[in-house]
Amino acid sequence: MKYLSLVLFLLTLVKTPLLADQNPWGIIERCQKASQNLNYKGIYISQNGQELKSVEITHALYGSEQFTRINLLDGNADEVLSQGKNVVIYHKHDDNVVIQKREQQHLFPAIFRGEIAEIKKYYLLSFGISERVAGRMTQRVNLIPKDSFRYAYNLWLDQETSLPLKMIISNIDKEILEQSAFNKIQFNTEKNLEWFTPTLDSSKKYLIDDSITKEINLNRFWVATNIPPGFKEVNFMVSKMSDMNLVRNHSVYSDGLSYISLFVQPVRKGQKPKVGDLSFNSTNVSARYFKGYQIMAVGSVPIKAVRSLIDSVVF
Amino acid sequence: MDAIDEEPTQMRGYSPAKELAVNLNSYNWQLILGFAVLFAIVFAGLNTQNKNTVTPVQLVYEEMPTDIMNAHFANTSSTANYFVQTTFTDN
Repeated sequence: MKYLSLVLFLLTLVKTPLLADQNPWGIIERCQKASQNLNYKGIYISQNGQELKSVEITHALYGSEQFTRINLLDGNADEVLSQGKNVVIYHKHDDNVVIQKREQQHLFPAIFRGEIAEIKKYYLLSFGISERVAGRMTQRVNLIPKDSFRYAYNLWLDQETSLPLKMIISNIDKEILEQSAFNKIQFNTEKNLEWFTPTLDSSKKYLIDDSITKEINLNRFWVATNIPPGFKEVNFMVSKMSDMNLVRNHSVYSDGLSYISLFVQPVRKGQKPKVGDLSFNSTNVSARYFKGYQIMAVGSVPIKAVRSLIDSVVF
Repeated sequence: MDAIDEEPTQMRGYSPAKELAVNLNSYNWQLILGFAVLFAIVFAGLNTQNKNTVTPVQLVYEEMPTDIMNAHFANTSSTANYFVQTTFTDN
């Protein structure tokens, strides 16, 4: 047993190509570039709380543009086609397919958004042991939060390409909140873009859902005076609430890894405003009722972060 | 000359039809605008709660607003299933 422990300890000291870099954060920069520039196809499993789903993803860089196709392998056979910043989702139902446009998102394995320099300010970087994931050797990299406003991100980066093959989000007690892991992946399998088409079914009706794009150009009447450290607003939307001639304000804040949504909207007639905190799976929600408005913050962040955000809204 | 002197003295030119038409149109638009503003105020008031009488309740999972959760996951999720399998109920 003693010898085994010694061997394991010595193995952790072996420099892998990923660790040879003088700049330890270089590994995260390469990880970000890998998710943008590599051509790959694989299947990964995603877990959030009790929910487990399989996803097939195909990604390619063609010219200077990224093309991604995502197929959900469990439940509804929904598809996502993404070209650059344009995302189209095909929601498949029994009788029809609803086509919906969205904005580009940071889906696994492309989880890093924006500048790595911002993430450095609020996370510590540490290295773990090498492990095998989806048949490939990986280097474990941990991003430990420097404060209590965000969770830890543990990544298993492919040693050859730096692509994240596994990700675990955990809280301060090291409880797993969310995880995604490839069980099969291949690189440079697609030589053209023939795969970048939706699976069409001529027996179904195809409908366009443009309801989420009805954004209204209105100035905001409120301000959040105490945003959690490291978070900054990355998106702001004003949209009409259904069945009412009123609008909802939706701000999205991010520190480069974690996200918080802040909603400010009137309370619907006949409904009671909500207050207090709620946790389910990896998501925390905090609600407040102020001057006739429902203020709610939602995010995969500690309750302290969502609560401090809604408490700071004034108007 | 005596008959002319007996006629009443006219103070200014006579052109009633054109001016009166212009004044009536302006008045109508003001009236319509006033009613529209009043209607909008009443309509907005009917759709919102009276903030002085509503008592908030504790947030519970079963009463989480679906539209808010859908909007959140559609804009922030890092897992494809949460990102994809949300459908907006608003708008």
